[in-house]
Amino acid sequence: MPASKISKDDLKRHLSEKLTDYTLVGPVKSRLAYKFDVISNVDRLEIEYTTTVLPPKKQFMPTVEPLIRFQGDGTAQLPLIPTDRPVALVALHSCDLIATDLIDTIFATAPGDPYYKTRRENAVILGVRCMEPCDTHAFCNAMGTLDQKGGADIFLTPLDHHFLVEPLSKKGETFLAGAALSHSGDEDAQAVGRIANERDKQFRSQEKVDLKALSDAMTTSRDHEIWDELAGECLACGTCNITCPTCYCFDMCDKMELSLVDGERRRSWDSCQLREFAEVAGGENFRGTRADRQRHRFFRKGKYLFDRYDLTGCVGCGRCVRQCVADIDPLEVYQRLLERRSARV
Amino acid sequence: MSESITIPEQTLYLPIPTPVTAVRMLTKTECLITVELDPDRIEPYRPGQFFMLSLPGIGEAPISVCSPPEAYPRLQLCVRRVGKVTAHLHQLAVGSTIGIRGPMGNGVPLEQLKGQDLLIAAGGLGMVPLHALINHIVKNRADYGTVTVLYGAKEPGELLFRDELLQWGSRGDLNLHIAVNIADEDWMGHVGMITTLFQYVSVDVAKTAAVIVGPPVMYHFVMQEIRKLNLPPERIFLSLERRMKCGVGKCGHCQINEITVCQDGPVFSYDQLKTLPEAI
Amino acid sequence: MAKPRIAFFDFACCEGCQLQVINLEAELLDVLDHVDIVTFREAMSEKSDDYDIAFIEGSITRASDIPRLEKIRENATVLIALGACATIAGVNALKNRRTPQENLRIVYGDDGDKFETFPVRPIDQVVEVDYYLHGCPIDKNEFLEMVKALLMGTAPKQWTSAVCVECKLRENECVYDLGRLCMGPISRGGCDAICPAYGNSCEACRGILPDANIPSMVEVLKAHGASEAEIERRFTNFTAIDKLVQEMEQPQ
Repeated sequence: MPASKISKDDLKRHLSEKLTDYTLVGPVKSRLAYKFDVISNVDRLEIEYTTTVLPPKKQFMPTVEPLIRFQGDGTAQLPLIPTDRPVALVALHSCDLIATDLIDTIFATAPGDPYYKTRRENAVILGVRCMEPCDTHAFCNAMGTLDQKGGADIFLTPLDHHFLVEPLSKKGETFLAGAALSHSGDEDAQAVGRIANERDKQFRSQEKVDLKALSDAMTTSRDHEIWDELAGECLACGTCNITCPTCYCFDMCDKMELSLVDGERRRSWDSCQLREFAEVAGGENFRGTRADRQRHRFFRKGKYLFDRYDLTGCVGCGRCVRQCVADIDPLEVYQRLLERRSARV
Repeated sequence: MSESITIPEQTLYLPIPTPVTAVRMLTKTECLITVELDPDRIEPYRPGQFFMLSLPGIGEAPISVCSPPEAYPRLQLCVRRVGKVTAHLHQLAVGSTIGIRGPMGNGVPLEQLKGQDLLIAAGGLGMVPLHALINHIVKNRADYGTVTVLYGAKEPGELLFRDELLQWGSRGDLNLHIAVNIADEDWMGHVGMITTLFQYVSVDVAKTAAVIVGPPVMYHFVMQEIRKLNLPPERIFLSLERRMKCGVGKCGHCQINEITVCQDGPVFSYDQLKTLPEAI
Repeated sequence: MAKPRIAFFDFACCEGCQLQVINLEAELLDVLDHVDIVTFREAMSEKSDDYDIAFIEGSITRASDIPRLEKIRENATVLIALGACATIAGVNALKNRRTPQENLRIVYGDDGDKFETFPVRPIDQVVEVDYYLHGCPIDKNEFLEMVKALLMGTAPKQWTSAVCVECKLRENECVYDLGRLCMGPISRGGCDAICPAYGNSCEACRGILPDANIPSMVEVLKAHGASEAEIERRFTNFTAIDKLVQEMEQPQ
């Protein structure tokens, strides 16, 4: 398919038209922070935005959702997830696109999670290329996720007055039908290259993290002094997990109506940094210290998911470090672990 | 090792209503619940697997299979009262209904154990899954060589399945050794940690497999004894306990290293565990 | 089965937590399908000593409170601390910064010796507490959840996660980004981060979490410009000083 583009106004118009058939979800500004929200007026959409508080994963796995409904007659029923209207999830950054890939893999691995899959299949994703670092804390360039198209159905590249448009799936093509696309020439591609070059220099670190080397370094870093240092700083508040696009742990608990027979079994986002996360009913806690929990967090990001799925468990979005009041920075942690490894070699 | 779970994905978290057919207290804190599984909706189970038991409004808890595969579609579950779900399970009446999901996990690799001499070590509640295994062995006795069972409990009152222990001990084709840490006036048997029972153990390294289930603290000490026997690590099997919420490898609570205990375990060979530093 | 009998009692408090219960309005009538409320001074004039569940609001501030509370404990099968004054001594504990004599003099002047008082304590320093409903005031929905759990004969949820969890789930901007200090990272949640959701800082009205990393929290407050006095104030606004000290002494 030849390269095409659409003017910014025409894209807005097209999105607006799609409101009849699609539920549009995209970044909006609420006070200081951005968040993904349902949009009924395209003017609210902030297509160029800094990272949201929560990742767009909440669209496929709500922060709280019913898994089972109990009924007064003693039976349990599955909740209905409406799919009559497809969802268009708009303006995901590359970090979130790659994170979506990862969660797709995990939640589709047998046995697949029916709730996640139903919502995911019902959505078309529009990714957007970041033409400058969205946030001073971001390190997507270091994690290799910058410019990646991951789970996108359409990938947009913003230029001065246009977006370059790349449909990446059948779903994407369907969504674009009727859009005022025009031909995009070599000069556009060249402009993107020029901007990207300038952009890359603005990231806080120019160094790439070698994912394989990081996983290997972690293998020999179980007793690294860094875990105790992090335990000294970490407040165990759970913010890093809750805001992470590649965290997916959840808790399950029942919530009953006042009838005491009708109710729900719900899942809600959980955090492995909380003290009780790995505690069993008998009282044994398999990660009872903050040091154990911090190591688990970073090993999950830098090693476990990579080893198992060959995908990075950290996409460098910077949400956790931006929102960590104790300033725990994953990139610094990775660099420290890699440093010792290179010092040894 | 395990067969893939064949339940439809849509019902991944849906508990199957299952009638309770018997409830019996085994000790002060453990009760034995018998249920009749719906064979159209719940597939056969094996020793070492577990089920999620649930009650609406109270929650779910993972409980080990206690009966041998031959009992299917009947299922026995031994429940220790430790939390809010188990406290409610203790109050179940015959004729009531509980929600069941499972069987979950890989279970003991019965195919690998066939034809081997077996050394089975149970610490405390570890006897529950091993009760399923030992009963399976008893029903298929010709499939196995010499079978030695070591069982350690804190005190005589905590010994599970006392009637069966007597039967096993008098069979003549099962070497059963029991130790309690603290004896009472009536206790005539061995007193000491389970590790002190290893003095009665001699194994043929060439054809012995070990299956060990107990609390985390036991593994540390029992493994010291097991190592002295020089059994190959791939023929030593342990079952791990972890916090579990979903039972289907999604919720992350039971994750150690890159694996989830509920899906990849709970039974692991010592060989596998050596690559999982958080495991024991 | 007979309906469980519920009683409400108050010690030193503003009775705002009991007001939260009354604020349930329509749901309170549904609750009455399952329980009998036999003592509730704020809402009714009848009284009874025959009850199963006692909700206690308020902190213990004088010697004569003790036998009264002990009597309630004796009568009740389940005893629940209702609100910050009862659970962690609440703002009342600010009084503990001075001696009882000083407090009496400041409040009552020359008539001080006509009143009794002693250092404020939460109720679990006097009797055993089965469950805690934290907050200043309590969250009325959490009260409902607790009643449901008790009716089902199960343990109510006792929050052990920080306010930050619920704050992030609501997608609030961080209060620190608004240029304010916040105790959310080490404070007990369960409040749905209601204060940060309206741009206000968390004042730890549900107490500091038992395993909180207090030294690091102090560093965070300092790094955001808090003076020693300000830090002291943040830590003791709602949390009885002696209890805080106890918790700081616990091994991590």
